[in-house]
Amino acid sequence: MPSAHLTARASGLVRCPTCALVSGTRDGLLCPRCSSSVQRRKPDSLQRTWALTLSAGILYIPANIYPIMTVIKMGYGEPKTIIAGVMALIEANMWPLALIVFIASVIVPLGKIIILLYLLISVQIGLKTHLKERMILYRLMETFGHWSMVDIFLVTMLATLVKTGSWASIEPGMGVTFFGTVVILTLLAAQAFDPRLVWDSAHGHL
Amino acid sequence: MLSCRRCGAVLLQNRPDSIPRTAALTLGAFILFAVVNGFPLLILKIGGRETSLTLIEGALELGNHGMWEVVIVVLLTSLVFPALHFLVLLYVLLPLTLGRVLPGAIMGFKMADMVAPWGMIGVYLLGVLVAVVKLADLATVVPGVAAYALGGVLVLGTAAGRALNHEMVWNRIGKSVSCHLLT
Repeated sequence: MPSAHLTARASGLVRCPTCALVSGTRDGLLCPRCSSSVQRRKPDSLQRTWALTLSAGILYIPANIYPIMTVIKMGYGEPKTIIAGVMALIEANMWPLALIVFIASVIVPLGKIIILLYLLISVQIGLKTHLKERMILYRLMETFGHWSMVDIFLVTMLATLVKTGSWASIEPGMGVTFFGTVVILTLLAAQAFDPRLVWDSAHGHL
Repeated sequence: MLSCRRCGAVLLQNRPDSIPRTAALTLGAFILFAVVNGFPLLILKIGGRETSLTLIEGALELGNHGMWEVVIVVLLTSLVFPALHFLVLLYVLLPLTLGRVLPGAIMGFKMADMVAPWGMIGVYLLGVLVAVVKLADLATVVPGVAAYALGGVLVLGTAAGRALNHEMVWNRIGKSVSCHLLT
């Protein structure tokens, strides 16, 4: 249940987003210590988070349909999607690594999109429960969000190493661009979301 | 330690010798990161031939396939942002150990915080590990000097992040504020 603490906002105080100084600066003015623009809440947080999350959700489809790389062995090309990369590790009995890659490239991006949607919808309908739990989800998302980039790095490394040999070559596929965009968009969406809105909406002043 | 009564987030934490410790760890990380950039990350041996890969080569490779937007993202997250992060931290913290503040320190410290979440050295290292395993059945792959150095950068960089006391640095480099409401 929402608890009734005295909040900085109710006392006319603002926390600087950059240096964390709490001061009586008015909205939109500069922080007295570090001169950053100080705002009570991230501007247009909901609209921006919605736009970035939906874009990421839409691009997640081509990111998984298109191959992220094609392995060409003796003239025969084999396109590989992100899921196929995880499956190959499972088939090679590399269970621990397969699990890490599965978490980083499937669970993390999909989980982020679902968590963002849940946070957005719960704030917009003014949900009054699970406030702390939603904050834990937000922090989880911030902590693990960038690990999905591992696929992009992997493709660049494989394509550089395996290119000149006559035995095989690895070419990057379109999926890389889509997947990379999804990762960047979810990172930006998590940054755009203001977690304090969870409490604002539970207290009815959104 | 001071934490938010509502959501439990840590607001303020005392960290002993924060400034000299962070400066030393960051300097170490920066030197190792220079090593990372000068040596191969991975060496692939097949038949009598050897192919190696450095961080910068890996970042630029996808340009050969016309995927420049990916090149920019990889270059920024694996090289530019981590290097910039260490550099601006050193610019702010090294003079502070002598009690001095160089011009532009405020902007530098803001920039360090801004680029920090976009530096992805740890993720890159996981990529190196996966690459070794993936290529194992095609050829002999060994991690190069840069791969070990990258591990060192990750350890020192994380330790530096843990040692840093933002509030203390802001108090030293920021404009003096007469009434502190929460510090």
